[in-house]
Amino acid sequence: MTGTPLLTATDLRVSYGAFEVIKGVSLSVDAGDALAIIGPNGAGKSTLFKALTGEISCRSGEVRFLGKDVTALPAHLRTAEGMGRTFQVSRVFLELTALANVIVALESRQRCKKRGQGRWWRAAPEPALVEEAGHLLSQLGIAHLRHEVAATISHGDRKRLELALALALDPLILMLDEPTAGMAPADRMHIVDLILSIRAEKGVAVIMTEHDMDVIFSISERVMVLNYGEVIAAGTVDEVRNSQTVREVYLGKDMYHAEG
Amino acid sequence: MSEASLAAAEGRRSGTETRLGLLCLAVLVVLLFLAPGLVNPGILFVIGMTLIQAVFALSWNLLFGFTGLASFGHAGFFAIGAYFTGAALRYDFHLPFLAVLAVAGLLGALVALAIGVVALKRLTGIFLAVLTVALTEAMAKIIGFSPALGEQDGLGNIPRPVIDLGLFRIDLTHGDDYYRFLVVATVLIVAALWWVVHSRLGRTFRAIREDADRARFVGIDVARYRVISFMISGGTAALAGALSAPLTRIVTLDQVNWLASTQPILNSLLGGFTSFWGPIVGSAAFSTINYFTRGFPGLSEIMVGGILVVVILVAPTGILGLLGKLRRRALGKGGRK
Ligand SMILES: Nc1ncnc2c1ncn2[C@@H]1O[C@H](COP(=O)(O)OP(=O)(O)OP(=O)(O)O)[C@@H](O)[C@H]1O
Ligand SMILES: [Mg+2]
Repeated sequence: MTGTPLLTATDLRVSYGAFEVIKGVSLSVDAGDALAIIGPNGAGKSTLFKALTGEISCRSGEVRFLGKDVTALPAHLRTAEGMGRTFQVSRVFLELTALANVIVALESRQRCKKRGQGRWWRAAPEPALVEEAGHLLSQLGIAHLRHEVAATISHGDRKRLELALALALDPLILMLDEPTAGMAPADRMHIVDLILSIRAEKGVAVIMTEHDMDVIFSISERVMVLNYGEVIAAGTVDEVRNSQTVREVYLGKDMYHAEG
Repeated sequence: MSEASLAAAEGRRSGTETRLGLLCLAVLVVLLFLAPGLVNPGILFVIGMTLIQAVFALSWNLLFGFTGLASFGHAGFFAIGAYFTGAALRYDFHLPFLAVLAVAGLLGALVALAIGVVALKRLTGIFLAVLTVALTEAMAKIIGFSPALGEQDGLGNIPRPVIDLGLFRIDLTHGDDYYRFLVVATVLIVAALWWVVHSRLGRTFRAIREDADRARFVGIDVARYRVISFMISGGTAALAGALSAPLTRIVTLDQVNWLASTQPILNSLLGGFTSFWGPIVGSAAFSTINYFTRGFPGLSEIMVGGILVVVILVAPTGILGLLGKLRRRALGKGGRK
């Protein structure tokens, strides 16, 4: 990846009706980078994610992925190109087993990559995919839940399963909206280790929002601070930590576990 | 990876239960074949109609139970098939009967494609429900003003077909031959739908039903697969209609109204919309109730209404859902896996 960044956003503006939530945000992420987006509740972090991934459309501005303008590209095609994401409140296919969840994602990858289905007349999923799905589940430490219906597994394990869904598509970038929200501290560190190992192993870039500063410092080199839909600071972790504006925004606020 | 865990990945039962189920199915099919020698023509006709209603209900439930979309005007598709086949036989379109069936199914799928592209590409599921009702109303109006289609009186005197396969002919015009053909056709259609539901395509449909947004973010073109599901559903409903015309030998406007559209819904809910077999069980149960209350006009409607209320309140997953619950209870604590 020389020269062109993996993902760029230029002057993005997003509104819900007349209410402008993202007021001209620009950012750039290189392959393998890790960027954290922080900001108080309601700053527009999730909205920015939705605009980047194509869940909602922007009023103006441009999103480029791999040098290509994807602003008008629907979400499933951006996913096929290599954008993986998780939701702030984790979303999986609740009535399918954990294994079937991942199989659905792997079968979708098969289609996205225009890879044929061997022996398509057989209804059952391909053994190779079943094996790969099992592998992914063990990588995320939830192999023992493979035959459990997703609706019955715990909050934390569901977050892991959702991560498995995102990883199944071989993403170039992972967009994680509060990957550790609502988790116990020990569990949080597990997720952090997991994300670190995924980055090390696959060179996946990461954009994440998070309220837990420990998580951010462990994963990201760069931080962007959003407030009322505007970038008020951006830079390395240390630069942002020492920024006067950021201190003012967070003055009197307990940033740690702000959401609990 | 063993077969058992493959089945479990699919959420299916494995081993002995599968074998037992297959055995029951085989016995059922054999009984259906022997039925002409076992029951009187009246009951045979009821069984034939039940098979058609079962296919019709399966087509509706592919949409509702497996893709998470509702059609409240599915009778429109049924009527497309029934009237096309009725006209093709009555006015002799010079098409082999199997081609007539294929064209009927194709017509249903094409109409579904047209509606689906309008309703599903841009809009949400509720518009599908509205447009299907509109389709049924429009069909009723068109038929009501078409002398060739019998207007209000229906298209009667439909002859039963002869299947000409070049090397040999299968004459279905006599006795119970058409009924036997219907059994074969039903088995084939049910098998095809079973394959759809349990294949990669079916897993994609289920993912969309579960969470369309999540499905988008694993790269699934949600609108496209909804349209595909709707086309299969509409095509199958038309096929059910097509198979009905030679059996009843008359198609009427009664098959193109609101009430006709509710039949597959009732059958699916009664049998259990979460199971593939639910709509078939529901159709059989419904026909049985209807048959035993036939002497009391109005009673069947009350019974059906009452049973439906009970089902929805006590067992929202229908007869099969209830049986599944009882089975799990009977197996007790150690029952899982
Ligand atoms: N669907 C919506 N319709 C209207 N307003 C919305 C919608 N979603 C979010 N908002 C508003 O947009 C603003 C930004 O919301 P967003 O969810 O992006 O914030 P956030 O930074 O992710 O907050 P949090 O830390 O609580 O997750 C908030 O004021 C919110 O109330
Ligand atoms: Mg948020």
